[in-house]
Amino acid sequence: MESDRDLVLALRGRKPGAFDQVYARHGERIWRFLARLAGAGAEDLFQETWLAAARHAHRLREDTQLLPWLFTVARNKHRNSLRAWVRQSRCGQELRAQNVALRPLPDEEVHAHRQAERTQAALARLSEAHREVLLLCAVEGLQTAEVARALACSEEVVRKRLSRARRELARLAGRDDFPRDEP
Amino acid sequence: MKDENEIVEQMLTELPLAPLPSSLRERTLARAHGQLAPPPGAARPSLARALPSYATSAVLLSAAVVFVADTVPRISRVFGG
Repeated sequence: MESDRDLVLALRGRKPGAFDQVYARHGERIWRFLARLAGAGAEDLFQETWLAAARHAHRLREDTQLLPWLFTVARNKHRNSLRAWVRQSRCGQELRAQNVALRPLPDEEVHAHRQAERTQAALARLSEAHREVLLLCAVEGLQTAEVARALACSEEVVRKRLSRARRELARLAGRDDFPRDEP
Repeated sequence: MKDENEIVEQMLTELPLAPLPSSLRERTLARAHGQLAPPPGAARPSLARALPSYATSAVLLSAAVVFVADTVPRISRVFGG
């Protein structure tokens, strides 16, 4: 099986079949990332991501890391769609209203099988920056340097943002087993 | 006691997630193929593909020569030949 680096070279050389290999190798992960990041809009974003990837594939730099690059494309598509949606909804009034509507479930509904729903709701209420960094680090298992590249920020920013995101997610999901901050 | 990293990882990995629908997978790949740059050399038309247009040009040129060769003597005869 070819390495990602070999695939980048094949894409640059417009080798037939190279794009299909990239798609087969990383399609599911991009889908998983977008489904958790965007929810209902994931199908459109998934298509847009791969169309953009196909358009730019032959212009990749030789040292491009394929998976972080694909996450960057997916994340940018998501951000662009959010901007467009916020513009349409007149200064984000609907977005704020939606966030207010997503309150934690009442205590009596809290059961073990509901924890996933609470996590999903908590994830939806996180800021975009926190949700991205959590999904890339904690779910996709990318290294800090790879996440920094995908999000166009420093590794230090990734570490700080990740720490805040974990705490925010636990708070929003109502987890009481989370370690407390040191005084 | 679990650390915060383990707790959050567990929370996130327990989330239900629908697999990538096969129709979406196939549709996306088909559309992406239309966006790929053509392989080197594919953009220039091959001789086999260009031949029909050369043949058409040759037939049209021949027809034009025959028409002129046939018509010019007739016109010159009418006007005093």
